[in-house]
Amino acid sequence: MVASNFQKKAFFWGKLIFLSALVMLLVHNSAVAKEMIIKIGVVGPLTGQFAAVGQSQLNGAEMKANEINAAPGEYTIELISEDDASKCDQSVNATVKLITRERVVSIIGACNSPCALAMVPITQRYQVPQFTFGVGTAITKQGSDWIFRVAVGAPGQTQALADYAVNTLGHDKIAVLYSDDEYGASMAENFKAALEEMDLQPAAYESYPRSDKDFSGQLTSVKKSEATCLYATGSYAASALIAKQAKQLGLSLQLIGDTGNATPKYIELGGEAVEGAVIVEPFTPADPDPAIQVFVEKYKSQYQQDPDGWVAEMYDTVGMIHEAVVKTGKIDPKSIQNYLAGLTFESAYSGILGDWYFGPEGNANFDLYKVQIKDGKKVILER
Amino acid sequence: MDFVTIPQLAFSGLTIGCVYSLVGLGFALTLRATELINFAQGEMVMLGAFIGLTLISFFHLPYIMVFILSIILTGIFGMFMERFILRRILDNKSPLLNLLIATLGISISLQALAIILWGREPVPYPDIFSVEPVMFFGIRLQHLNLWILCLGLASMAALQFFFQKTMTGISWRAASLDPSTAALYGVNRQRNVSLTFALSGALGGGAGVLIAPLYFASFGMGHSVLVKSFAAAAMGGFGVVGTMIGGLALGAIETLAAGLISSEYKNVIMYVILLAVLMVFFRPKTPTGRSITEGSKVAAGRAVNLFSADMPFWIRPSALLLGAAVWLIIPAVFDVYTMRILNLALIFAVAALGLQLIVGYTGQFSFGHAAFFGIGAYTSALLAIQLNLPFLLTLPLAGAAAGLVGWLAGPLLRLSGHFLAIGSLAMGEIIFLLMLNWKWLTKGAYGLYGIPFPSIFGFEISSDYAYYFLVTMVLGLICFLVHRLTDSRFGRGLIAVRENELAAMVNGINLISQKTKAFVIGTACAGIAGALYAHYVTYINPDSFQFHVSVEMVTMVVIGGLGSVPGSLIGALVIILLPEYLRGLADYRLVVYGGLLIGFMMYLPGGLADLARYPLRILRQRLQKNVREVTQ
Amino acid sequence: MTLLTLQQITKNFGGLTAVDHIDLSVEKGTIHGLIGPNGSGKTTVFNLITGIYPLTSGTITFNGMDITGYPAFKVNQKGLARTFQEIQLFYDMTVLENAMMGCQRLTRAGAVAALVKLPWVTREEAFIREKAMAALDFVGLSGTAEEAARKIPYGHQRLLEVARALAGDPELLLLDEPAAGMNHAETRELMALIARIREMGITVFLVEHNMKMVMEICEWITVINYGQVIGHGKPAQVQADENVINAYLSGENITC
Repeated sequence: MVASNFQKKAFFWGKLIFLSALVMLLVHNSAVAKEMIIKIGVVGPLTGQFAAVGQSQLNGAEMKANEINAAPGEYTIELISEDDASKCDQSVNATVKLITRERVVSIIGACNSPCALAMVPITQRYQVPQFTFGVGTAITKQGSDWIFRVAVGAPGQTQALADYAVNTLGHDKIAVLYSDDEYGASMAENFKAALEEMDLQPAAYESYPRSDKDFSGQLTSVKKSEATCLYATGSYAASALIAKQAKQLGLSLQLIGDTGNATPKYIELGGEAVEGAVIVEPFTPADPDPAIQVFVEKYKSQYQQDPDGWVAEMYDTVGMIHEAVVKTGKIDPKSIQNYLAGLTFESAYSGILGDWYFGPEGNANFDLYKVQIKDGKKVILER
Repeated sequence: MDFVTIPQLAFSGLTIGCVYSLVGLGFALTLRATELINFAQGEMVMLGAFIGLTLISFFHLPYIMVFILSIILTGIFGMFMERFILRRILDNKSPLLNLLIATLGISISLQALAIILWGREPVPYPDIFSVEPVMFFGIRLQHLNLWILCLGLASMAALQFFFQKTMTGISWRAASLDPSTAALYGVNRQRNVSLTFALSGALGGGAGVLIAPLYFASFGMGHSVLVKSFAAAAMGGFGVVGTMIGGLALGAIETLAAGLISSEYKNVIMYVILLAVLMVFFRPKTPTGRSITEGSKVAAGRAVNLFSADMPFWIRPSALLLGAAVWLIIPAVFDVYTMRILNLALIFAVAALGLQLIVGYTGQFSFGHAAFFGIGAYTSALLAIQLNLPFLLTLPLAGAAAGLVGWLAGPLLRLSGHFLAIGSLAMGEIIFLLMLNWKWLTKGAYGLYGIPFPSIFGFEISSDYAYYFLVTMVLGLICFLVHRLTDSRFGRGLIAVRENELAAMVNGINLISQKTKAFVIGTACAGIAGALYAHYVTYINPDSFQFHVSVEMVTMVVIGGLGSVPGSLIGALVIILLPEYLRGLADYRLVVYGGLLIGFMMYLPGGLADLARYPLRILRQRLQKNVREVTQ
Repeated sequence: MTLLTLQQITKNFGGLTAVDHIDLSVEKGTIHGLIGPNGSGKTTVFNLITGIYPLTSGTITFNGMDITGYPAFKVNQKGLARTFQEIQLFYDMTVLENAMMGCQRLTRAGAVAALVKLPWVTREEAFIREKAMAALDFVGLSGTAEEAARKIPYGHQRLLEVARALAGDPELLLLDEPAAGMNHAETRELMALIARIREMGITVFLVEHNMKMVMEICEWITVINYGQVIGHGKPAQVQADENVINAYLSGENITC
């Protein structure tokens, strides 16, 4: 085919515009610095599969930062958010950028345990405290003093869940269905260990690939096992789908879930199928405590949805970092780390989730709520 | 096991299989009409789902109406996509791979746009049908699944009718079998291609409306059906009826395997069956077909050689000097963050060079390169952690391990064209799944942490600057070796295989052996890159070695320039640096990134190496003139 | 002396017998023509000889060696080179590189040799270049050695295919319709070229449609129809053969 003159011209101009756009992109750049500002880097997925979790992380941190900045005080908080698309390479790159370029004094992230784990050697090398709600056990077992887990880890969560399911709800045939990524595997193995301590074995123990949407195969095995209770762990969307499909297959199971399902989205997606599900969560909007209700209302007015555990954890994390700076009077990573590592039961930071202090490995520990979903709302069973 | 289980599983399997068939048909059609693997097909599913959702929740239309409207709208969208983006690239006579990267760009941009429009979280469809199932001999048939099956099968029947009984359909088939003859009989190719993209868009959109009520609408939903639908189309030999059966079979196999055999290995089982089907039924008898790099200017042996005999004697030493100066200045100028990105880019460049050998020089598709990268990473990491072997030993061993697996995968190279594309993809996924499930060796999804920094003669290479020197030296060595390989009798043999398999074989080239050698060397490069990667990031898990990374590597090779050694380096730099560089754009980052990929393919079809050709040629002419003057 | 012998070779494609028990022998040093109406199976015979298709039955002997079932590359290594009816070049390589590809059977440097690049490898590379240039010279293409094969005119592309086949010093050269698409003058030049090739001691076996050319240059002619040999002999004998005339009368004119 012979290209017409017009086509040739169009191609030429198109190429010119494309190339100049490329050059303009290469030229742009910016960096500004201020004083008395606490710079905190937030690393998490804002695109890709886990984008919603990254959004919760950012919202929680942002809400607290805005509150601090609006209130009278010496210090202001500047959050610098970086998207890692839940790719660990990008999490680490972003961390290095935030520390060496932006000179942040603390790092929040990443949302996925593997990526948070990949960041640990970096934050240790550059001696900047890192805060993550990733639950993977290994994160705090790297011998770094700079990592703080601001959530209950996999062992704590599954222990509480297994205990409640067996001793309070009275199930002894519990099936486990987990996503084959680090989160699911880590939860499932710890849950299994918790059952074994009570001399029980899971009735069925099945995994599913993360991208899968049809679970009828796995649910068939669950059905065969005659389990009365199902622990599904992985993304909240997958857990909601599992609940739906189990119901469609005519299985009537007591559903139980970990903090991965502790988001209002789980109820929205699961609908009727998740009625009666029991979930452990660090935070619940159902708590009548007035401080919590104020927090919930405020979040709702800003973000048009209920806050979840991740929001609350990050809200408190920013609060903690701010307090460390106020108490020590220094904006530097070392004093923040020192102050937070030195917190004890007595000197704990009091946040929306309760009293914060860290164990020797950097794990926070607090009581989890056990809630049940009734009529699309969460009802507290116990804390 | 009760007798209800198997039909019950088959029912669920067929439902999802129906969706694979629809999406797979879209693949098959575009492939038959344009030889293109359309990566944006998955996004048609996503668009269909969201358009449907909007129609249901805002206009409260009945499901059938929503289905039909979404099909029409995504069909129009597919047509626009062809008209304004792909046609330009088709008209440029660019290599097929360029088209493929352009559709990848469209896919990335559309996903990012969907996040901006509809948010990051999955959105459920309202309950349209009764949740109470229809009981049929004890099998629970859900209304929604029945609807999916009926509408899906009806669309396929309509499609089949269209191709068999209507004039347009018949001429479409004629054109896909023999475009030039069909053109003689007055079949308008342009119209045919437009029609194809409209149809495949419509099929994707229809599939989207069908599965969204089951699995929610989300921006990434297309991705999860993409690979399996493509597999379905390949199993059906990219025919219309074949793809329908392939999809249904795949869905059924997958679900039955999970229910009856093992949920951990269900995807392994599926991919193994796929490979078996490909190897048995779709091995070409005689080599034919268009070279996948055809049309690439750099590949055309027209790279500018500055070191030929007619150039002045000082050109080589001064080029070396300049190179050395740049090499030493870089670490002095850049900060830690830049060095880090640069190091990663250079590590990927090593892998891309290997891929260049396979794709750019030998002309073979490979969508499993990341798996070999992973094998190298795991080999080196495990040897270092478990056996405390020194880096200087684990690095070549990593290359050898990857090369060995590449050699074992050699028989795959008997496949050609798109069958090889899906075959290599399946092989990559199998290796990924083994990394995930051989927990005793790889620790599965937890990954390996605490991988030691390389230590060479007692020197621990832990800083980003020291690593820069290590990586550049390895890269330099590999560049040198790849250059030697390609600039030889062996290298000519590779290019000959790429250019024309028939001519190559009657000129004494053993096709399988030649392709296997290229594949082994290429995968060994990936293995070495993997080792460099593992000891740099010190933590690896299977996620880093998945399909999308393989696609990224192919993008590097194409953007840099097919058949060009420096092109691979530039490509790796661009693909790793660009997303980092675009960070400032926040939500629009990936929209722009995808757009740039499209732009590259539209306006720089020969890759970035092609851009350097013109100034280099001028330089060469200038220097040659000087020589002449001197000699005169 | 017989260079190439086909004994009872047969090829079935599905239910169709394209080549049906053909016996044929090509004498060393001759120009041998294979003719027949369209679809009679000529090109299939070539494809069977060169190992592009596997035989259904029969044996092929080349130079006293049984090469039945050899894959194409091995057939070439034994000294049998060919061209195609539809030109098969390495289009994005240069003319010279195309010709260099013809030398595969005379050389041996592989991947390892390329990496180590010992002196003999460099010498071999120079030898390849020399052979290729000589072949290009022989067909008259040395002036366009650095052009991309895609860029040269159609007639030259045909010659390039011949040059590539010659570069490997074959004993037998198979030409599949070498004059297809050529005008009268070009055909004359081609005939002269084929004569020169024979003078070099290379046996030529060709399939051709142009009867005038075949009758003029071939010493021996074999005629096939529907996959079977229907005539064999000197040009004059074949022209007079009743079977042959009948076969062609139903199709085309033998004296065109």
